[in-house]
Amino acid sequence: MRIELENAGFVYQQGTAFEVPAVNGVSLVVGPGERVGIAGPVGSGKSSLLALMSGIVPPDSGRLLVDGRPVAGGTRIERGSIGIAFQSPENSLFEKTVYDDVAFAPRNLGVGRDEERRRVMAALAAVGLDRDQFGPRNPFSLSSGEQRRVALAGVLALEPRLLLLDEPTAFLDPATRADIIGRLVELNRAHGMAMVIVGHDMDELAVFAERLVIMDSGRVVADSPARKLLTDVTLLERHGLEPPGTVQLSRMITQKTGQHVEPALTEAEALMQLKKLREQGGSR
Amino acid sequence: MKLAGAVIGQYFPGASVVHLLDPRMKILAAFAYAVALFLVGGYPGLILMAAALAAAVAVARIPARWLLRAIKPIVFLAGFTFIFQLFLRGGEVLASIGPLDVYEEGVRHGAFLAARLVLLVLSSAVLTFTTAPVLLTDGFSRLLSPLGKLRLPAYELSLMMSIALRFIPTLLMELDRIIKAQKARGAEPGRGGLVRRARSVLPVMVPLFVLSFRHADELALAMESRCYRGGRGRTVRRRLKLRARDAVFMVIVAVTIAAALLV
Amino acid sequence: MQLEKSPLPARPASARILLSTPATGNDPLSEPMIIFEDCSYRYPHAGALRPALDKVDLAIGTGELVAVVGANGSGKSTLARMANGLLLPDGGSVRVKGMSTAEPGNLDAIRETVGMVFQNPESQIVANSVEDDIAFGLENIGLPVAEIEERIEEALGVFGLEELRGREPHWLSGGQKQRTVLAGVMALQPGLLVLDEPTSMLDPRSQREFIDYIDSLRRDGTAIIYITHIMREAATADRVVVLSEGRVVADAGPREVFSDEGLLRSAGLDAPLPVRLSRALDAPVALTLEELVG
Repeated sequence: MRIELENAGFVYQQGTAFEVPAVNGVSLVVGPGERVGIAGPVGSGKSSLLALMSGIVPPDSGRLLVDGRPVAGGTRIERGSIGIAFQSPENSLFEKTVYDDVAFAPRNLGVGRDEERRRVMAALAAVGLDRDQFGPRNPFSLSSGEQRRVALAGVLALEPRLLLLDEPTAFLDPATRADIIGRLVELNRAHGMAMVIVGHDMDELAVFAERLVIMDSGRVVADSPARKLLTDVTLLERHGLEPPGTVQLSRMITQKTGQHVEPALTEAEALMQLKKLREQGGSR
Repeated sequence: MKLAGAVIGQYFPGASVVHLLDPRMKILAAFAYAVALFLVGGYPGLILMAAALAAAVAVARIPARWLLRAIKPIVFLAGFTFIFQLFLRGGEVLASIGPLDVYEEGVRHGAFLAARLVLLVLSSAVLTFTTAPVLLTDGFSRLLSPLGKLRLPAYELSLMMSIALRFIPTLLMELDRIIKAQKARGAEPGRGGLVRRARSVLPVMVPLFVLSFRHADELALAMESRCYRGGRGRTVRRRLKLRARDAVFMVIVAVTIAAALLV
Repeated sequence: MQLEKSPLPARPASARILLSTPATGNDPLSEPMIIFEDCSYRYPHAGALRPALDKVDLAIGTGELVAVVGANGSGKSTLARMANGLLLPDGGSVRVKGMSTAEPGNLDAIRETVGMVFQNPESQIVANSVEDDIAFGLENIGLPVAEIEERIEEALGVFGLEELRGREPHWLSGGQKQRTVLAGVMALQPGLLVLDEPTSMLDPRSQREFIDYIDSLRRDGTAIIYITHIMREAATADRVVVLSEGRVVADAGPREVFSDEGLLRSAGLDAPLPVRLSRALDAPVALTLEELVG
């Protein structure tokens, strides 16, 4: 599946004294199996952009196309093909058991009993929850990290071809954050599910994203392979973003030695550079 | 966000004289205006009342589309009132629709009732358009304060009202988000038979209740942490002060209403 | 490598063994701002398998910034709510400036001393405008009107809210709401500030600005309990307290706490990047990238 926003605009709080354009003439394509990160300062319109991509919120101007066909022109998006989890998705839990809550989406799609069961089990496994232990439990009795996992499973059970996630790790502890990001990458690799994550933690996006979109004041200001943008310190800082820690480190090494070091994106790369720096320091 | 926007975009910021008037006087004037609308006997009075409101709108520079938005919810009711009255007997027959005759008196009376309804809604809209919610609650709470002398908890009552006003927009925005989130999971609220429709409310209402209770709980903790002890020993910071313009305003209101009732 | 000089007296190296002897901040003679002594709490509802807090000992002095870290559900928020008597311990005691929270007569004075900022700014704004919300606490403690106005102006200035003073809460962004909440709490000039993940709605740049602000408060003598999930924020604290299943499993300087890999992993935490890298290099623990590069 390929979705495309064409010159899309969205006005926040329309018709009030405080209306602001949240998304302003954005064109963006997401193709099958892609892993895209959307970053930008608070209020840059990244959450609104994600909502527009889901088709749930119609754009105020421009249009959304799915596989080349405009959605507004009567073509409906195939049900369940796009999944979206808004910020703090655990706020939409409502069933008495974890199983029933995750089964909500497949039931709405009208799949059979067996298929429903298969999907719930697969979704719970994908978010790292033991189905026998958690399935019968009341979602409101779980910890916030577990609730987040249940909520994400509830969207995964749609088995969408495109998954949109708005800050899926916000408010979670570091171990849970890393685990969830790791599982998403795994899902994408195993099933080719295209994913778009909105976030502002560059270290996390460095792990997740293959392609990065940077938004500022409602517009897309950069859209390139993640490595290229995450290592562009000037660009990131101009748009109020912090470069990943490893990139900051490489820059410091460059400044200290006077010799240019390529920005590191992984800890392994950073470690190599530090080792080299220490050898030089020792031989000097 | 559209749903929330319709309800919370109630204040039209501005610095006109109408905006600056004491909220208590505006609340009293709106109340008097509503009562007078029901006492006014005929068209001359009604036209005078409409002119007075139009003057306030013009001074406050409220855009026409805001007024239209305000009466949108009652257009159907006003239209129905008008049509229902059309067939009242009296005066000349103006037209015949099938077996029904439309009388002059019916048109006259129907238009009167419909106009009265529209003016009623518009007058309260002008109050909320020109008064910041903060001042509106302040105004109400000062008007309620004589209750304190009757040993009713006047401060607590006005605080309750102010918190309700504070959280309505928040909850509406959250409601909007929950609806979208459940739609994203394939829910189709409001579709199907009665039972299905009733059941489809749960995925929206349960999360909304859970969130409301959490807000209430957290708000209580935050208030206690910030030394809330009820009205005991509390400073009243903003004292509303009546100014000359408020006196002039009330005189205008009194004269207009008296004239409308007498003509 | 030159180690950064710690503002606190040196502590024994083993983080796990050392369970907080009352710390005394900058002045060894002064009474700690707050003392948790053998403090336990179990939530009353059914299904609470273990206590939310289990025999916690902790003392924090003036001018001290103590980071509290731990996995979701480790008891951090419960600890915060004990600090000003919103929750009372089932066992043990909490004393603020020597006043026990269990004594109802102390609560007014305790709440004037302890400022609390919770996680979700949305449910902490009481009034219908930024300005009125800042006034709320000041009116509650019955300050004279002139002083209230003065403090409001000051708070609006410090938090850059002058332009938004009349704005209703629902027109504010997440970051603006967070600043409003903080302004309302700081206007009460608390001696102890308890912050429960206050930067969760901010982007990294605003988070850094916030940390700088907290640091300036500490230098002016405010005691601060800083609950956070962001390890590089914790690394800037004087002490790091690690909670795991309601127990304090470490209470020491950030260098010591972050050098104990096993401890962090068992508590569901992760060391900040500079610590991870210095560990991989077998070098002395570095808390910042600057230290690492040397």
